[in-house]
Amino acid sequence: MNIDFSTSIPIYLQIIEEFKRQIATGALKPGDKVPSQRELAAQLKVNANTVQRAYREMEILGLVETLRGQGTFIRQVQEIVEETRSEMLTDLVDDFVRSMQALGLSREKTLELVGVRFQELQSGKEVEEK
Amino acid sequence: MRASEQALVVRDLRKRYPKVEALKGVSIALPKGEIWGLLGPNGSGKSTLLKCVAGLLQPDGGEIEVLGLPPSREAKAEIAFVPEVDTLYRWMTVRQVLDFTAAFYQDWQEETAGELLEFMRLDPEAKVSSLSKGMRARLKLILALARTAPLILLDEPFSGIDPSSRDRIVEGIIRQFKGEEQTMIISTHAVGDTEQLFDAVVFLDEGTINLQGNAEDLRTRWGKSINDLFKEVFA
Amino acid sequence: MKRFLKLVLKDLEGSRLPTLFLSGITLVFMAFVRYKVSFGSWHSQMSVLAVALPTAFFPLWLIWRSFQTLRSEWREDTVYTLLALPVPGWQVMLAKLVSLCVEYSVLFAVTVGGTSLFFGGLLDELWSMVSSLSWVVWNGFWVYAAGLAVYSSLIIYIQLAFVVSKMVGKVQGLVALWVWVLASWLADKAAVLLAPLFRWLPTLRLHEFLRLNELDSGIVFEWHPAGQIGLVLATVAFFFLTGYLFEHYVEINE
Repeated sequence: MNIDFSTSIPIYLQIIEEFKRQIATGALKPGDKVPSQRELAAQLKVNANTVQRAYREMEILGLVETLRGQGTFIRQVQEIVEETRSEMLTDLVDDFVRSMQALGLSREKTLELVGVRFQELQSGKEVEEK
Repeated sequence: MRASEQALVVRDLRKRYPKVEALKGVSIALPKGEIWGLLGPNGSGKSTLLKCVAGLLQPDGGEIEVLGLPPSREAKAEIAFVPEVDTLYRWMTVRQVLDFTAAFYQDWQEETAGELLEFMRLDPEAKVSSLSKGMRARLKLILALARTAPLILLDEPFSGIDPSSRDRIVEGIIRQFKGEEQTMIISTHAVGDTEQLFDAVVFLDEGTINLQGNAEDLRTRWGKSINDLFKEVFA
Repeated sequence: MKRFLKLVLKDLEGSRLPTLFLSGITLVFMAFVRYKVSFGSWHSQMSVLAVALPTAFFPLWLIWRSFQTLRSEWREDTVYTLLALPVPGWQVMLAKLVSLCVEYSVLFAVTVGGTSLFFGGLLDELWSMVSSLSWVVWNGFWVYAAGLAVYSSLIIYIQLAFVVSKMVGKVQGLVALWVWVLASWLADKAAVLLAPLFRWLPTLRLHEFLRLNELDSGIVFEWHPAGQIGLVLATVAFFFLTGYLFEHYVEINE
């Protein structure tokens, strides 16, 4: 886990975002054990109270659950994974669309470009695999 | 809030040196379990404040309460103070320094000291005089972290030391800090990448507090990192 | 007790090198003089020099050391460690006093040991005056004890003067000197004031106690302690005052 702390976003929110991202990409799967608060704090070199706050929020959001004496785990609730995933996808697409709009591209032109790049990247990948 | 819920209360603290007024009425209240950053440029009074709390300087006015105790021998037993300067007896070996400190503080944890020694990669047989500045800084930190002192005061623990010692010290602080029973103040004139250590920060400027608050709240309110805020305030 | 012992051991460790160094030099010097007297051209009276020189130098050295042990704590910033310790100030001062008394004892032993080792044979005349070995040991011990008492009280005044000087920002040397003079004057006043209270004490017949009549039956050495009791009490009071000031008022250099 890697977080850039030089930004203005509260650190506990950045930690939550990072967990969401890893859940959405499948790096963290339901049932996976997450590091203990102290461990993560040491790993990220972050105040333990900040990590505690992040974990508490994640529990409220239903991303993780803490089983007494066993640790904290990613919740086995598929809809939360889906929800997180679609949230992230929406965010990514939003960013992309806004960037395109800023460059003055129309909806059609944007979609066309996406189609072309999609093809090229896929064929490039096939070439690589060969 | 009851006084006993505060690890440290400072009220209107004043300290004057022959040539300069170092503290012009500083008041802070530290809740138990938090790590506070005491931030300010050199000469802003950070060190003076910590030394007054540790009982190494006598304030000219105001009050100090450590866990409800006035400055006293009893209060000193509750404080682990790590000054910026080298305060260790140079002829001692690392092991002798640990044994010396252990004899005076009942909250000394021999096992923790051993673990920290290993973590900090210090040779117990090395003489203090042969250690580099970074290594001496590591050793001084062990003296504070091997105790379960309710109040830990670190004066410029990162200043002028190599990056790897700095990393070890940051990680050591996070690993050993026992939030349930401990409270910590870290003073620094260079916030840099240490800002994620702090629950709250106090900006000290020429002996006066000009900004203080919860670190996350400050980030949200000002839309800036503490480091950027620090640079702006002291530009 | 464990804490106090740690403090003493710390100060003793600091004393070790300078004391060993001086002892070594003294013994080498004595051996050199002895060699010159026996195999060289030096007159046997030069032996007196070999004993007198260290005897004259050691007191100055010890006074400087008692000042130095305190000064070095400030110079090397170790006073931060001392002032942060949760121990009574008088223990810090007593540890230094004990350690300095050990230094005194070592130097005393070096003087006596070196003298008897290298010049024992040359002092035959002196031996013939003395009645017995037990007499020498007995009186030697009391010379040692009297020196120790004088030195300890000196240390106490030095400590007081030094600690008070550290409580002021400037002219520390002048303050130290002034405190020394004032404290001595006060102790003297106390001695005079308290003397009448102790008139009832008997006069001590020290010539009997020290077996001086074994040398010459005509020697009379009597002493009435009344005049000195106030001095001792004042010195003890100053010792605890120093400890109190160290614990409550002294600061690190800023």
